Amino acid sequence: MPTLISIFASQLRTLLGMLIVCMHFAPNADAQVAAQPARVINYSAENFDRLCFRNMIATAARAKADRMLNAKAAMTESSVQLTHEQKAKLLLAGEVDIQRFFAAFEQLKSQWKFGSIPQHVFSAQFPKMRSAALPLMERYQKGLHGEGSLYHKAKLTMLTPTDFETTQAFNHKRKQKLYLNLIRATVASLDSRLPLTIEQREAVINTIMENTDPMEPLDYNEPMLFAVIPRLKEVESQLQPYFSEQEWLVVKKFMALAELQKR
Amino acid sequence: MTLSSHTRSLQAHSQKALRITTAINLWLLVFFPCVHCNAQVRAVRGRVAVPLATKMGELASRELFFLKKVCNPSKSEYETITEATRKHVKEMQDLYLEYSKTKEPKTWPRPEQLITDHLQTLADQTFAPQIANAYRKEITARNEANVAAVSSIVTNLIDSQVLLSPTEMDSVASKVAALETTREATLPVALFYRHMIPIPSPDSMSDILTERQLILWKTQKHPNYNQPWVNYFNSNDFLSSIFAPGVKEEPNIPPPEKAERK
Repeated sequence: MPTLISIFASQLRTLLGMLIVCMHFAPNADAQVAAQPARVINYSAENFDRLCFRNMIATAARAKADRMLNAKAAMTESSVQLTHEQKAKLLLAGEVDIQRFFAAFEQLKSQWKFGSIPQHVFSAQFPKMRSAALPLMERYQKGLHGEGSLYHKAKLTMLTPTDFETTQAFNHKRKQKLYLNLIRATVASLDSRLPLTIEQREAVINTIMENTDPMEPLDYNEPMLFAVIPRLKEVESQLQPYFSEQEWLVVKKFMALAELQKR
Repeated sequence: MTLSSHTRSLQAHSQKALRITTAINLWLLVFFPCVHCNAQVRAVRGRVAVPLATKMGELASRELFFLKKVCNPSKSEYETITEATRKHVKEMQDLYLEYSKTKEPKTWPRPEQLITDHLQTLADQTFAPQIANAYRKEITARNEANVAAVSSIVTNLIDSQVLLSPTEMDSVASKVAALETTREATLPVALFYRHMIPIPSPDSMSDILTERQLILWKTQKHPNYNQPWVNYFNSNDFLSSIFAPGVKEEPNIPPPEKAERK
């Protein structure tokens, strides 16, 4: 009997012990979870620059804009005669466009918090940051001295109507040539999977060139097929007669590649 | 069992768990680099590998489709040509196997070239001169269109960094078309990503651009182009899912499994 009692007592002690241990460990586990620091994302201002300027920091993007302004002025100069004063005015107007753009960029940048940001804050902030930056990203990629820019307005007021028309025609010709190059390359891509005859190749290129508007020049950071294939879709019905029924299925598959584009 | 003994057993248990975790981690540490290395080895080998029979078969079938489209052969003519091409593809496999032991990959002839040359010979033997010449003309035109397309894209890329006038674009395009980097470019791949566009070497650029443009070009970042032609068989591109009619449905060439086993 005493043995039984002692066994029972021992079991009871064991149970109590376990209970104490569990009680001791439970809050500790919670404390451990609580003590774990929240995940932090290091997102610097430089990361934001790279997001906006396709992997360039803001200073490099600005330097590129300056270089492109000089190249643009040289382009204008090669289509019409500019006096020294006119060129200086154009460059000044272009410089103002660049300054305005980067002032807007800096203002946007100042709205966000950079550095070590808790993950949940970053997850909420990033999509907003990206969508707010998108118009500026697109503006930069398109070029800062196109229509609507001070550079363009200065050109419009400074040049005679004939000279202005000449520069516009020059730009249009440039755009057309760049577009033709893109179309050639896209058709050659199709050619690599579905060999085309001379007649088919020429017909496809001409149909696209004659029936679609030339695109803005690309920066080639993204696969260019994605930019051009939608143009093929625009003239789908005009292209179909150049292909057999079997071939057309392949062309359709090629055009469907546009859906793979990531945004 | 006392409280302390319980704590000890719990400690022992957690130590055991710790040992198991450590062992698993160590095993993972050893195993994953091995897997990674294997993948790297495969990737490196893939760049210079002998073209796969399936890919060669696809290429041959595509060219057979084109020959059929241009030359319109009779059923028996087409069967003879297909049979001869099947044999030729096997010979090409052996040839590349031999080259893999004796020659640098960049000196290997392009499979597309080998197949079209072979089909041209067959067309000369099988069809009337007029038809055979039409086929020759088509193949030449396609090659020229490829070179024009590559030089066009190189010109566009150069323009995006230095701005060219329409006349300069023509001049740049024709100079670029004559370069080896352009003529040897694997077009479908070259079109996809910026770093795959065959930019001319810095030495060639001084002959292509004006002084002003050259200064501008030098101050900008350029991707390094280093794509050997063997990438032709890299199926990791968007176009790899597109086949000419009949290439997937009725494989004329090879039976691939047999060819690969061999």
